Amino acid sequence: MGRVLLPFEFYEPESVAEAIDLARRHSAPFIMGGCTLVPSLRRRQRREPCLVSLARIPGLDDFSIHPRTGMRLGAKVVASALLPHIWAGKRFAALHEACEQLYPPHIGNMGSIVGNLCSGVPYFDLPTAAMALDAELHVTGQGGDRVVKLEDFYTAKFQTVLSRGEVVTQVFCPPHKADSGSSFKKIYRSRRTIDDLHKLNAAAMVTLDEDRARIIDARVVLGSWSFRPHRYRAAEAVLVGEAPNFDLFEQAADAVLAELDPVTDLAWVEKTRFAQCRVLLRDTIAQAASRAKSRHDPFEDAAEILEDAS
Amino acid sequence: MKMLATFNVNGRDRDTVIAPHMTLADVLRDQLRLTGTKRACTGGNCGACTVLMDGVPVCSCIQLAVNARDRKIETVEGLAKPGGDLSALQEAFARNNAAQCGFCTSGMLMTAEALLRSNPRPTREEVKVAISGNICRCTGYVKIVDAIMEATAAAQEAAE
Repeated sequence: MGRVLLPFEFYEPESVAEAIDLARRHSAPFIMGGCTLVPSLRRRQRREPCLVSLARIPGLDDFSIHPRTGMRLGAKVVASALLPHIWAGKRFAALHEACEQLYPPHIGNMGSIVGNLCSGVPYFDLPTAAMALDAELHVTGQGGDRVVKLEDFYTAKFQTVLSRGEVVTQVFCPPHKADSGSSFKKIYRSRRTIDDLHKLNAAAMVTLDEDRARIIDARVVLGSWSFRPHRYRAAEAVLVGEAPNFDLFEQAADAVLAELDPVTDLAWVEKTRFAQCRVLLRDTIAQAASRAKSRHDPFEDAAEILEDAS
Repeated sequence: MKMLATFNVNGRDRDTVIAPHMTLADVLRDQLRLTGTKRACTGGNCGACTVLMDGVPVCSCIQLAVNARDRKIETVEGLAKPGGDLSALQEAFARNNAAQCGFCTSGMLMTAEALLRSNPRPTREEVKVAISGNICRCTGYVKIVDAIMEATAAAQEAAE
């Protein structure tokens, strides 16, 4: 790895409009924490003569998380900002877990969540978790604003639907139904040969009916397998309408495996990865269902206490 | 594209000329001559370059210096007391032989310092999680965790 970065021009606009204008004029990418961009510049994987920093734009570090209104994170919100938030942990557990497990932990103090989603790196964790939470990105550009679902966001390896001069100002995860739970898990070292991907990650979200007896909605996402995380609707169809149990989760995991293409051509590597993937998916869905079943919101307790008092 | 920048390092404002492509580790080591902060992997993986920015540990090797200008930066040189005596944490590291080659130690100290400020009575597991981003190839971590546990508030109160 090279020791130094090559020189570049650096702009520090103080409003979103100014930033978009600069990025368009210089065909420059945006930089926030730089946790992805700086190492790739140093390795000479990318060559950027000009960068536009979002660091001095006020207002982008606002965030609000509430079970009634959903989760709204500005472009500058770093991953560690989520960790102490009670609603992030209780109602948006998949993203909270993914942020908690970032390695090394220092990265969580530097890199923004939106930056992680926008970098398009195939093996990143936060896109997988955010996709299970049905995240949508608010994109601002020269032509105005638009909203892009995270599912439609990635077009190829390291490529997104964003063009130069478009910036994601906010990520929004809608509030879910009352009896739902989400979960994220990863296997960090699933690599057996140099060509393999390093890891596997999966996220799931399960919603139960009012009696907490049947699954009425599910989302199953597997990341690190191809260039982007994917939702597996066949597995979701297996889950919906059924009572949650261990055999069902295994069937759902098998439904995902049926859709997967081998990544490498070594038979024994594939065998191992498929086996790991099955266990990972089964346990992720099981934990999401368990959280949906044992859901406990202090918000509702507080409402009951208020009612008792009045 | 050079610019004059002021960094608040260890409580003192320091002026220096930087370029936007310099990382915080470059500025601290090469411009300000604070060579306690080490450059090792230069990719944000090993934690040897850890400094505190506004009280939280960051990897200074991938932090652009321009973005650190208005922040309060603390390096390992700022840990010792004004008279030159070592801090309780540094004393504990020395007593427990928590450094062998010493290359990771400045990063370990800064990460441990941030942990003990936010959580004065961590468990052994919490210490291990906190220093999981700091790689040490000599000690096997046991002595380091011992040292940090000895420096916790609970241990200090028991000694008094």
